[in-house]
Amino acid sequence: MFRTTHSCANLVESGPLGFPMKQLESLRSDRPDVEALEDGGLIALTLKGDGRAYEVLVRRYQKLVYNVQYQMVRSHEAAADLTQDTFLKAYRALSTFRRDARFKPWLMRIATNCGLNWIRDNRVEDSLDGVLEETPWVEPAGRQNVEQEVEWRLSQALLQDALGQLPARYRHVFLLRYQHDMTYEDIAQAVGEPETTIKSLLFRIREKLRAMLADKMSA
Amino acid sequence: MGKRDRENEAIDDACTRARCTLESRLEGVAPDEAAEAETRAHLTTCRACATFGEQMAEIVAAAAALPQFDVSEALTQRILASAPASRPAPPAASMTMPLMAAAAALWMYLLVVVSVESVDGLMSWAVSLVLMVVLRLIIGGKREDLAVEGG
Repeated sequence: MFRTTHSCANLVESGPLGFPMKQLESLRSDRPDVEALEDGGLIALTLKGDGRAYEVLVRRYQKLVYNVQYQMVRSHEAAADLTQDTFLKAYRALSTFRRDARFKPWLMRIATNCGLNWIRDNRVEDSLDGVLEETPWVEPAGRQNVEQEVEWRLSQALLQDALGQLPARYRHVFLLRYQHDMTYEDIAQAVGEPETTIKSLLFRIREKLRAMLADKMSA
Repeated sequence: MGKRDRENEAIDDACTRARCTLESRLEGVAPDEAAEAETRAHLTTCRACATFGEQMAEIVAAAAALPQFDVSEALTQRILASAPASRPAPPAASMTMPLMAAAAALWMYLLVVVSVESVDGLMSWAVSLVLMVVLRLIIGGKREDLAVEGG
């Protein structure tokens, strides 16, 4: 009697985009050509209905999108939902994507809007709104201030805590730059602000974080 | 302005320049040699600015080292499964002209065939106007759904 080694051998689960899961699995290892394509090529294939290309695109950017969302909303459950929303919106809007544009900042723009809309809709209070309107450092050297001999042992927990006190939008910009190493140009496109605004904003955010962290450590 | 005030102002200017250079370094912008030399010299005498530079560098480094979470396979499959089981919608603009042409042709036909002086003529006008409004709403709604700035 022939015995199947897999209890589900006769079941072909219909996977995403109508592709059978097993077919997808076998294709995954046989399609280095698709995985090697740049974003533009993957988008072109996706627009022609190629589910494999879309999957490669998702896997390429899902970690970035998820972590960006998590830092904005500070909830894994919400971040997962927002990641799904982001890719769904991106998928629907793929036909409007300009071929001469870069996909990453375009996707980040969608992610930013999703995250900020969630914060607005869930009425999450952004603390320290307007805090960055304070004048940045202009202290004279002689004044005893945060630069005093405070030994810094900056832990990630402390930094996360300080970041949590920033408004979500500013935290988002800061992390796009320093955690995800995005260029000013890409950040500007992602948040819909001019580059000069981003540079100025980052300057103020850094200074504010430094002051907040110094206060915490000296306390 | 007294001598002390002028000295303080000079110190402030030196600190400002040094901190500008330190900020530039953080952004990966290489300062010119003169500014770099001036900053190095200043940092040896100004503990406040030296600490400023150390703290800023530490913040940036800590941010770069923040852990990133991996995405579970379950979430990946959820994302893929949520995409509509068809091609992404074609650009709305490509459908606009044919639809508008069809609507215009229908309107002309009704106008020519049926006179406005009869009840049927008035009905044909009403039908064609409703048709055009509905088509406009459909096209406009699809454009709003798909439009994402930055693409």
